[in-house]
Amino acid sequence: MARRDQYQELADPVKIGLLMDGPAKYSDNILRVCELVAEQYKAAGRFERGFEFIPVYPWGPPAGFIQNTIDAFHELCDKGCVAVIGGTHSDDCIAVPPHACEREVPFIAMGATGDSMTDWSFSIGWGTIPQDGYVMVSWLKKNGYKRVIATWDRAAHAAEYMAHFRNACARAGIEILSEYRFPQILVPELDDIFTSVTGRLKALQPDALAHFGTGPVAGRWADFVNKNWNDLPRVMNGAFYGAYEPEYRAVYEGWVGTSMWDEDNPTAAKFAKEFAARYPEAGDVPIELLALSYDVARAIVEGVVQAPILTPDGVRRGLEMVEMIPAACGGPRTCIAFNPHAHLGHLGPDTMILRRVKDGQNLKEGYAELF
Amino acid sequence: MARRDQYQEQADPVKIGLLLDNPARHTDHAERIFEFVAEQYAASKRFERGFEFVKVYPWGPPAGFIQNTIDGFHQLCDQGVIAVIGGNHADDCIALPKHADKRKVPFMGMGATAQGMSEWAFSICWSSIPHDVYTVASWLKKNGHKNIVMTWDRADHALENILHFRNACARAGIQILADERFPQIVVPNREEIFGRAVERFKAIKPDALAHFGTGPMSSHWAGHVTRSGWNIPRVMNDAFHGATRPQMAEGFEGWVGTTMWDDDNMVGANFYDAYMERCADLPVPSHEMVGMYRDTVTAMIEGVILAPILTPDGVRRGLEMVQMVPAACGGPRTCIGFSPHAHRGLQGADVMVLRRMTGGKLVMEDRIEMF
Repeated sequence: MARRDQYQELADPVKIGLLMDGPAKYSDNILRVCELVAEQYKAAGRFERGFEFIPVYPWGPPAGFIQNTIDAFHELCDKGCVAVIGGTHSDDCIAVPPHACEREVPFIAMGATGDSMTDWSFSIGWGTIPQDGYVMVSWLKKNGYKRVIATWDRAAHAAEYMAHFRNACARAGIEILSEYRFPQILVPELDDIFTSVTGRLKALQPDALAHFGTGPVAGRWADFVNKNWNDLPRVMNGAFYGAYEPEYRAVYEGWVGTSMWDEDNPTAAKFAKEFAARYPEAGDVPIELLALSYDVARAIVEGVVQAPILTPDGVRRGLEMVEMIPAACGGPRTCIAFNPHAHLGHLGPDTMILRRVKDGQNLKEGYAELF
Repeated sequence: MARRDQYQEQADPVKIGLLLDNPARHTDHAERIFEFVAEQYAASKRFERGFEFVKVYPWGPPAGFIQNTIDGFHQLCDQGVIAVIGGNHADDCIALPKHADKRKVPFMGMGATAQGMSEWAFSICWSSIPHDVYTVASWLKKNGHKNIVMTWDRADHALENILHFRNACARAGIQILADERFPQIVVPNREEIFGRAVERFKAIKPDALAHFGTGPMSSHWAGHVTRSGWNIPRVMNDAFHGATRPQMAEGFEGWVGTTMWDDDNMVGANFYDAYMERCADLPVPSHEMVGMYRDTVTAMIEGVILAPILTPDGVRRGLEMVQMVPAACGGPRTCIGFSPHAHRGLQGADVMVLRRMTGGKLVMEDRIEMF
């Protein structure tokens, strides 16, 4: 075989792994966004080499197992990726970082957890667990709800939600009267559990309910509360994402929830238009998903642009020089940056805002009032 | 000697070390502010035990040496403090984290550097180099200054400014025509050095001048440019704080600079007013300095409150639970939070804002337009 000339041929694109641990309605669009952002950088003349995105689709949690996602991460490393982005499930994002450290390959986790960061792991989260609890407590405080009940589920990162929520309530002077932890996954006896819990919690006469969900149980619980206790003020964490999709929105009627979708964010609005023009076949993709995917894609591309050398370690160092990127997620003053030992990408108090489903519409409720 | 009863006596206060590496005109206020905030927490009943601040005053940089500050840190650890606040000088904050890691005592650096974080080192910074630089670049971009010259000095963290500034200029489409690196310390022949720089730059005909200073040379350079009659648009990093000193203010006429003092931040404004009622005997402090010391001690106290156990490791873990604390520094949507491997405390796009010296007054100029 004839030897090729590295100095005369066109350069190979940079290989980025996509750890797509969510269903196709998420991962297909994440891949589209990555391709579009890479095209935009190429058109701007900021990175000539270009990118090759290599997806894998592990059968991860909640229905599958985390080990499948870990195996897929190693598969991407074996293929020579200089960095990996994803998955979106927080339990995956808690489990993968030790493997990123072992392989010395930078990993941008897309889960909401604040426990995914290490020397080699960065976070651009779909939701942000530490802030979610405070945004919800701000809403409870502002509305004068001082005695609340909390429900959550058995995911590891649901406990993380509750740890921050308890701290936020203590700071705001809100009392948690009682709480209940639901199964993480769908089970046949779910309605029986809901009935039993509702009976017990009603006796406490709380001012409001706060729910911290991580999967499909959240939508079922939202629906159950609407049908059985619909005069109770109720607020939910980023599991409120389900309220974007018209076919599921009805179950969230009357609920307030946190979201990364803010119609006043010009970066998100502009990119949503560009995405629709580039991929008309994608249909109505939730802006929150587009915004998250855009922020991750932009962060990794900027990190590669800043990398002093195109190795995994170079990309890690490049990521740590990414600064002041206007974020598509959250309010208009949310930005993205990393530094050494500062691997939380989304910065600012408006990473999560509040929305409400009212009369079938998903409306902006407001921003957190810091306390 | 009679044995004492740990279960019946009043509890000892928590010992926090103060590494006061700055002149008394700063640290006298720091000490007063720390005591004031601790009193506010005591009054709120959120932490019954109270605090004892143990102080050292090392002769550190720029005139002294970093080793003196390092020695001061170890001295505090030897006295049994469970955390250390300070110093302010960014080169100290770059040098200390490895010692904090070795001693396993949490350290809250207050320097502008983003290179001062580690497993045991956190940052609530007096100005923020990455924010500073992109805010300066935003001002240049917005005002159409595309060909610029820059000056900086020989401090280690001055180079950090320049690394980020080159990245920011590349992203903003700004060309750096030339630069000059001044001594870090005050030297007798500074006017001669400045004069040569002005003449060289004038010949290049730049659109604007950007200065990144770290010490007293900045005020002298500002004054030299102003008095030279070179009417060039000019912007400076947070060395612009020198403009708050009455004896230096005149030299800053016409300069724009970054600052953490934003008129619209009511947390900062309210705290400043409350503090000024208590410190009538001291020279009037800058808003920026008061806000920065308030934010630092607030973050530390919140970390102690959230500590699962009152050891240095407990305080480290407590600090990593601090979230969504409204900041006195920066724009009104700036907040303070930490997570594991996310030790940069001040979060948001408006950590630094822009002010201008005009007619002897420091007025709000703008906030960053992210790009």
